[in-house]
Amino acid sequence: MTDVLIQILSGVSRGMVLFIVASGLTLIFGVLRVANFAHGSFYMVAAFVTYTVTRMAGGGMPGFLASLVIAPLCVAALGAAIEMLLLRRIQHRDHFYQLILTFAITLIVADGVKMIWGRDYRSVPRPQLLEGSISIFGSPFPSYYVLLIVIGLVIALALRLMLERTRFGKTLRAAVADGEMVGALGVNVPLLYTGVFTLGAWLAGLGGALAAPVGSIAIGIDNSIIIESFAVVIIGGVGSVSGALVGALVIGVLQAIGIMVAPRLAIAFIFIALCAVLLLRPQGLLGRRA
Amino acid sequence: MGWRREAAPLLVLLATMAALPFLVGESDVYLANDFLITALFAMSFNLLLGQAGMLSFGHAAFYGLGAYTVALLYSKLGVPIVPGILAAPLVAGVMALAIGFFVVRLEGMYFAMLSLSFAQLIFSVVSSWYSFTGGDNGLPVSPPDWLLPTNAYYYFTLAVVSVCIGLLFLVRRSTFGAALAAIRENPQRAAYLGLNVRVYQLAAFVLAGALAGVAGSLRSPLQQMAFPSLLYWTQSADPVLMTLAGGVGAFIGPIVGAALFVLLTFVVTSHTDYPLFAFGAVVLVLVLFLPKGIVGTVEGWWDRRRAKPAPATPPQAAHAAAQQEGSRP
Amino acid sequence: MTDAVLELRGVSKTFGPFKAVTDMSLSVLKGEIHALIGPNGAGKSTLLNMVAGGLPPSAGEILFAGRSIVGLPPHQIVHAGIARSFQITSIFPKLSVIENVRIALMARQGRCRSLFAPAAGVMQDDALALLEQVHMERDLDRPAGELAAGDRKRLEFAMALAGAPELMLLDEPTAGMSPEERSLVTAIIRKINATRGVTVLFTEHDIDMVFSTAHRITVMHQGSKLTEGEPAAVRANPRVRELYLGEAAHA
Repeated sequence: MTDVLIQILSGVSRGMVLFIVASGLTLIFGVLRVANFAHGSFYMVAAFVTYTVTRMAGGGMPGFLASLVIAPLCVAALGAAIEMLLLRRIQHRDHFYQLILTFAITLIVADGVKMIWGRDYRSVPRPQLLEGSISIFGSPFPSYYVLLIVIGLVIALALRLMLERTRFGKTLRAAVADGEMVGALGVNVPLLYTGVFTLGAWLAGLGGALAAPVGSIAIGIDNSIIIESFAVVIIGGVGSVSGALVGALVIGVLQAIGIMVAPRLAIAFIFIALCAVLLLRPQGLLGRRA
Repeated sequence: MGWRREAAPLLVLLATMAALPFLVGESDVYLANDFLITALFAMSFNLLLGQAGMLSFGHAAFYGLGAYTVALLYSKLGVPIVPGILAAPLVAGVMALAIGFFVVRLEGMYFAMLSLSFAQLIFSVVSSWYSFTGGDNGLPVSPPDWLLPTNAYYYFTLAVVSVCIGLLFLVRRSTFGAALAAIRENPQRAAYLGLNVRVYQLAAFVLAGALAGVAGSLRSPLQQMAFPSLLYWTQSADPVLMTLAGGVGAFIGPIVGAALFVLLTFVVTSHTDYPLFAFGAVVLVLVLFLPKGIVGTVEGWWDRRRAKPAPATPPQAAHAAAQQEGSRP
Repeated sequence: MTDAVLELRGVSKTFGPFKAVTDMSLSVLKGEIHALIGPNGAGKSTLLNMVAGGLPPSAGEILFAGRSIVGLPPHQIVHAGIARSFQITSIFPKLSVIENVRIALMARQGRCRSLFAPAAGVMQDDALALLEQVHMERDLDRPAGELAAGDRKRLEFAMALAGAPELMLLDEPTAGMSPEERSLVTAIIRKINATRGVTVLFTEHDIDMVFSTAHRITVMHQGSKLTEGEPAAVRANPRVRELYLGEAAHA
């Protein structure tokens, strides 16, 4: 029984990383109405930057903390540049073109990462303090996973406060609800778009930095994370941060249980859930009907 | 647009492709074969996007199913590849009917996402069912002796692809094609004129899926292998990019896009290790500067050039004349 | 009520807490031109939309030629013999004028099912005849999206006619038109009614047009029927005068 609990908890920790990444994606999708394929690239770049930073800093706690600051910021800057220099030029065209543009970026970044970091698998050590595990009903559970769950909850809370208490957050919510109205209300739309895209990229970067010490970093993680993140966004409802939290936990736990039941078909469970949501409630579990 | 204007480049292309083995070496014929298959894959996709306005992001599922139909029939039952190629559109078409039944209920981005999800579902089954599909190791396919020579298989492919593209040409100009165009332009209006929109969309989805299945069934004998990557979502992006590159609105757009991509892959991979970078850059330029694609842009340029030196005939009348000519059987 | 072609019995439509239409009953007689009038928000468009199959009624029964059409999808209602036009003109903007009408004819006659039969020239003559009826035989090959608003309305009208419908639902058929176009469309409505016996149910804001064209008028207010009758009776109704004509006089 504790095995199942531990498995569910590790699913939750994986879900938290997914939530952090997907919350950025859902905000971008909700405000700019762009299915941003480059989101997976942001995640991957941050993971590789984390690798470089921790190597340079020697692998201890300072290096880990530095990477948590530096990697998301690098990716946020990349996101801001993409929004201002590329996406903005085709803002008024059909969303199809924006989707293709972000896809082109994934191709460029995928090879760009190979040029800079090579094709080898990389791994990032966990700082000593987080290397061990805690005991849950006598079973070990990695301390690092506990940290992931805590950070995920903190980010969820911070995003919620930002959306409800700040001016930027209120504008952002209004833009999700009705994009045209926001323009008519005299909001600086280009600034809003850049802000949201940058914030979204930062979140993808944070997710990538946090995931780096779990498993290995390799070419191709961009392709798998983006599909999972899309699944989270659709299941939760486009533009809804709480929906992203629910969706990410559903997928994280579903996958963790799936691995126990039928290891090879674990991914299939995600898509079955996704198809079911799209058919029964296309606006997502917590989304509003357009 | 007159049918001659659309048919002429196709016939020129067919003649060129037929003459190709006499003009170039064997490795180039192999490349041309790759192009033909890719072109059919992209053309089948554009029946959805260009004709019916449906952006499917899961088209590789049917391409891959076609490839695996041939491979599975060959390696499990010993069925030669030609019957396999005949069975592929049936398998892909039936699967497209099952998936299409659900996906045509949604529109726009949600349609794209649901088609992507179903395709990934099929991919995850194919790539993880080692005992049946060989999983990541793929499944081997061997063409019979008479199809082993590069030129023989090339002409076989050319014949099959020509028939399929001819079919698509007829469909585009048919009354069914006209209904799809109407649905693309204004689905609500189409419904209130008496068209059962979902049934037409489903029919287009099945037809496109079946033809993608044909393309896939030609692919695995060419590579003598079926791989799960043929069904992966990045493979679904290929026809989207090729169609965009060539031109969504033009019939031969996806063919031109496929040619560009196959050539680019060849050139880039033989000179650098970074083909994706080159693709990405090309797509970026196309999206930013040539949204109508290569064919669309050239056509626009050609029309403007032709309109200028002959101000005596107003463009309206010239267009009308072209229409008249086109509508005559 | 034996000769009612369209009959609504106790039809209601609610959107959450909002009642758009409440307990509406209405009979449209065979061969008549029936106007549905009322202030903005009275529920006229919602009512037409329910008849056409765009919205399911929350309660009530809708009979067309004696048969219930509640729950039928729009395309089946079209094939039953009801055509409609929209308040905001709905056409195929990138197709040419003649193609718009041809596709309407082909759709209605079930001639869109062939994968290989060429569409070029199919029903060209019938389409031309329809366009002549609305005096649009000149702009045949122009993309419909380039037409002026009034021309687009007339094109949509021709598309609605294409199905040789028994009943036409017209949502503000002359909105945004010049006075000449209005009298043209009014004349066309009268003509198809007189020569083909097409029953017409339409909404309209132009009161003069309503009283000069309609055989009978139903007045709606806040989702319910205020009164129904011949133009003279409706005009004389004190509540209508107060509510509707009074408003119009002030405007």
